Amino acid sequence: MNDGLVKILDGNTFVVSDDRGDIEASRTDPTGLFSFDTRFLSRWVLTVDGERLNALSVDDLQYFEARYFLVPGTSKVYIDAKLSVIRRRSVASGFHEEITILNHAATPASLTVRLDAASDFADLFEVKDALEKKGRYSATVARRKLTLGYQRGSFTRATEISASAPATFDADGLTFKVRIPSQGRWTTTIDVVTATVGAGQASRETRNPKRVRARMQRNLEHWLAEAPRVECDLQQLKSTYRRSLVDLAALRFSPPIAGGRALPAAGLPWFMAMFGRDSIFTSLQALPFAPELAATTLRALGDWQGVRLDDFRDEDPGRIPHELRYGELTAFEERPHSPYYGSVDATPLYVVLLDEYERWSGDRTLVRELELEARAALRWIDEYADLQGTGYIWYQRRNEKSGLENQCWKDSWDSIAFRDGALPGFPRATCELQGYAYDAKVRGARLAREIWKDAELAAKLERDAADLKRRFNRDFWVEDGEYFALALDPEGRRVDALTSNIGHLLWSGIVDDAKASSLARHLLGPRLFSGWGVRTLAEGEGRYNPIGYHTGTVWPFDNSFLAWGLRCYGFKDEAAAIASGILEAAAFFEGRLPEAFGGYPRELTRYPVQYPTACSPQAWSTGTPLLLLRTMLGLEPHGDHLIVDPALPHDIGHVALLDIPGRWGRVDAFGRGRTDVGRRARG
Amino acid sequence: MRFEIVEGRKTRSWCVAVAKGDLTVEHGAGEAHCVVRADRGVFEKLATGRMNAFAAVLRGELTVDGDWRLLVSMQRLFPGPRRAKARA
Repeated sequence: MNDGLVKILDGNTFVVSDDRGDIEASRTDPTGLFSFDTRFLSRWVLTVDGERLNALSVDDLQYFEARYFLVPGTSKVYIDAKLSVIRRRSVASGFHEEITILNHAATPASLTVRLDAASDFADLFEVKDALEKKGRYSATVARRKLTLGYQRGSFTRATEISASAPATFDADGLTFKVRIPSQGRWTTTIDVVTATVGAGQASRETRNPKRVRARMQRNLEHWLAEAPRVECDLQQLKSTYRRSLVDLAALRFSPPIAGGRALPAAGLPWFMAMFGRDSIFTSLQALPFAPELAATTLRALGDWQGVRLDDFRDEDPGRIPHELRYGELTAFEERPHSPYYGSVDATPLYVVLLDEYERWSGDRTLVRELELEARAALRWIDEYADLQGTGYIWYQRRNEKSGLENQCWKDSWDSIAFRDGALPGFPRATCELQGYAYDAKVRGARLAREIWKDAELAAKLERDAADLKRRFNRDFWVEDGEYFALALDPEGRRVDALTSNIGHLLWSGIVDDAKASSLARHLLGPRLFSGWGVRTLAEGEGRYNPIGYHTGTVWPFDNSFLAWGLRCYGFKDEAAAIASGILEAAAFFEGRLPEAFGGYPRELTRYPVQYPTACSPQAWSTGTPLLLLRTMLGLEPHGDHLIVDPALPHDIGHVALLDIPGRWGRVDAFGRGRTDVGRRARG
Repeated sequence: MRFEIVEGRKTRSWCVAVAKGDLTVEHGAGEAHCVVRADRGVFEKLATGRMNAFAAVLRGELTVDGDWRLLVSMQRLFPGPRRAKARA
């Protein structure tokens, strides 16, 4: 919100405008009204007597609703304003806008109120990459409605604009002729409705905006009431926690296939879609707070699990999808997202989430319901992911035109490199993938033994896991640095850069106990730890850059799993140090952690420098404070009980997490800050 | 689940029922939780792996009415494109 843009959203429908409520999108910027990955309005400009308005203030009332207070004229002096204009907008099958004009003058006012409207119907991918359109545009004017349309073959999208007050419609907008008495007011409501043929739930949703708004309000209140409460000395932690809950509510998204249930979308504005990896990580982070997200994620991703070999989509039987999109480029197969399967971590993580979900919720019914999906995911690891026949997960895209090169979470082109910066060939086997595979096997064995009653599969998975762990600790260990290599290259050479990935290995449990302490030392050492958090790539490596996307920045989500990993191996103080740094950074962003921030040393910048990206809020950053709370309080399900073993940073003081839901019903957890992270944080 | 196969002015309906893993296929326009409708040519391409069902829905060539999850499950039965150069 500090970018001057006002964003409101509900699921994958969102509006991004300036602080006047106006939209004047260029081909490449993500402002406008978007739904199902298509821009339905690219121009929406309000004028009074031909004059633009000036913003006095904006209220983001809720994530789905904003109010703009405006006065006519572009002058910086407002004192003479005889008129006030209030726009109140909420998302509802498009959006609903109420415009009110107040006449403060002693005489009546005759005004021409005009809204310019246009749509380029751009696919979100086109906005990202500035591509040309191939279809035809139309504007149909009726007495009480303007319909903007786009058609390419049988693909049609339309935006319908109507108003409650009498208006004249033309192809470029609508005009009101208004007379307002002295000290009087005039009001109209305007509905902008998106219509999608074939794929549309938006077109079928209730069109009563008041009811939609009331439903969203109730829904948000219910969501907040169901979540555990935080009580603590530190006001900042409380507000960060609340910010996270509200943003997570905003990012919930009900794809048509999920039967009205919600799973987390990845982030605004580029990633309001179902992502395998992001939805799984966010669901894991939120388990102690909102376990139902995990259930929907598991069901929806299970529905789309791969069943065939399809090179264009990088699909294999058993593979969990990476990304599902609804826009024009996906429709015409100019992009493979229908869905695209090009990630290799989502499949083992699917089994990890299923097990972790059951440990918290005790919901064995879902584990039985998804038995075939989980078995297929486990089979995929051995039968389709081992491209080199060496017993590891490897990746190499088969769609060489629009597929992803790096199919791990660090998916930018230069993220996987040797110390000297050289890039390895393909296929690649990054280290954290092997950790996830190990964890999936161990957890799959538990599910097989206890719930699917298949002792044979359980025994096989345990044997395979033990074997994988033994080989991994030999093949990936960088002897002269005492850490695990980032990856193996096709010749089996260790890609030896020091990265945050080693912390994911602790989370997965694949690390030999004897090797764990040197990993902890590296994670909190000066090359990786910036003072705020752990960098993606260590200072001193060939490609290190404090503002390199995956080559030096600090990712809050990454750190939340590193902290969890450290706790898994008993490094309580180290975990607390990371939690402390990231939560202190959150305070600089009003509780809303960005996707990533610069890896500059803390004592150099004194504040965390946000990575220049437009994606905020982002789901797994939003989930980060939640997982950090779990980690600091040492929450761990054990049978039907919840173990609480707090190790809180000293500065945090007293923390209580009340009404934690799970198989135990609801329980409370308390902790007091004791761990001195001060010295450690400065490395 | 009902398939409505459009051939010119004629529409032929088939109902597919799934009960505990058993599939029955019947000719006729019975009640269904999900109705999908398209030209015969579209269904032929889907059934031979030359078209992707979800992309067809997005293009408006295949329309879905009712429970989407059923379509997602059903599309698993369609084959993949030929000549996949994948290993395995």
